[in-house]
Amino acid sequence: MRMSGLSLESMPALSIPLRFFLTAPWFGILASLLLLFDAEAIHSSRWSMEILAFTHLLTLGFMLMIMVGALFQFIPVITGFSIPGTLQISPIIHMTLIAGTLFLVGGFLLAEKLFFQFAIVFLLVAVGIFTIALTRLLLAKIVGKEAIYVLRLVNVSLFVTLGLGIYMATAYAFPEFGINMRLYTDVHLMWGLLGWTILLIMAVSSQVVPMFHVTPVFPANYLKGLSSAIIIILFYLSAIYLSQTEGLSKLWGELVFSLAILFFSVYTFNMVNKRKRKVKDITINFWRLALVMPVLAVMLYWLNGQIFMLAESKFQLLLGMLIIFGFTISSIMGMIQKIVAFISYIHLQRLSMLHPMGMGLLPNMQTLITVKSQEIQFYLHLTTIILLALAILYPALSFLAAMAMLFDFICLTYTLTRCALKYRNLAIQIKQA
Amino acid sequence: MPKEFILDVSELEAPEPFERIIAIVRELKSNQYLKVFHRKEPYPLYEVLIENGYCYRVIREQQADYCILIWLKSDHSTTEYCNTYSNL
Repeated sequence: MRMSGLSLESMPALSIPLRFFLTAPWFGILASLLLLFDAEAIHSSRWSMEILAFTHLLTLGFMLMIMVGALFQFIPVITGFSIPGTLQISPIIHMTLIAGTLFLVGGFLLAEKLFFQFAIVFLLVAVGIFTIALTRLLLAKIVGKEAIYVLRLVNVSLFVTLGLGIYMATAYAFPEFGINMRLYTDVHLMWGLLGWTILLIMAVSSQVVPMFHVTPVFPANYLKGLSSAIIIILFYLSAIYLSQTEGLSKLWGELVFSLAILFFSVYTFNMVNKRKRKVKDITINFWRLALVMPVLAVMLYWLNGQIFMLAESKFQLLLGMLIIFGFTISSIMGMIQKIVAFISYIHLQRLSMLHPMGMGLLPNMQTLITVKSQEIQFYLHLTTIILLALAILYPALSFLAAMAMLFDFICLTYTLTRCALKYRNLAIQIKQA
Repeated sequence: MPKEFILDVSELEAPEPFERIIAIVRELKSNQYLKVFHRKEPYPLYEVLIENGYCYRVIREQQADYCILIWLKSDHSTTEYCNTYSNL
């Protein structure tokens, strides 16, 4: 079935998603170096310029970069249609996202408003092009694909998050406008960390988990129902926060939202455990680790002041760490190792079909990213999460936490780059066979 | 009637379904087709099949969420048979 204006193509060239996947860990390395050299400023307050720089290196540089690459790869696989103009727009989005993130972070660290002005332009281009291209596909009537329904809501939450982010960057870029940025910060955080990330992980996991781990398919009612509920609650809470309403309205909204997050975590954890083939798979551990984090975050949120007695700044930093590093980055690290090995392998298979003499050179997918390297990555990552949490409580541990985080991202960079180089060498050999 | 080969990949994790299908498809001859039972629609496979001179049809059968018939494009009698089969 052909959709008007949409291209039937389910396998984009490997370079398209790979450029995003190979760039992203470098932003994690930069974030680690920032923590290494300026931990005190990062831990001082959630409003410090250093924590904002650190956070955006991870959220824009690592998380958004990987997710954009994943969507370029993913959407064609689940729908059979590529994102319109993929070949032309992907390098533009890649470069402007790099530039926009670096300028934004530079703006935070150097308090230079010109940097913010450049950041706004580059990020508007990157996100604008991507959301417009994606919207065109997502508005098409692609029936029976519940993941597409969730991706539509992801697109909405990305638009709101980045729209608010750019509006707040304007406060830094043009302070003469007198924008009251702090009013929007919590809403931006909520849409970004709880809306966009959870919805995106929900959409992607609903495909990746059954595909790679042979679990039951996620039911349509679950995907549509929970994602719709999350979006409605987000709009409700946005109105509450922007009107600075306190009392029961706010309490109920936050309670229902917490229950939605808990439901997502428990449900997905349960699905992951229903995998049919009980072959040892380290990437499953990343999922289990990731899905525990929202539960811990919800417990911390509601029990701080009752059971836990953390100072406000530590409480907020720990909450942010659990969601960003504990949940989102753990999910991404597990998925990306599977995805990069898989797409490299599929492209080599495809090549060997066109060059049959090279068929004998086709490797086992496990050799592209080995189980051993996945194990090392997992234990490095787990250690990093523990040390980051402890460092928030005991800042003397910041150096160790930063070093662990640095090794975590260096390891990922090395693993993904090595896979890409193996692919390149094998591709050459297969073509020459 | 063409010879039917059956392959159930519905409980295999990626990329095993792709690997196993390709391994059999490479050996298909005229008057033969492969019937694959799968739990999801393998869009990337379709492109590879078309690029390499194969045809496919997706049909509904009780045994699995997706049932895919694959045969050689140049095999006209199997084409006719599979088209008829998929219209039933």
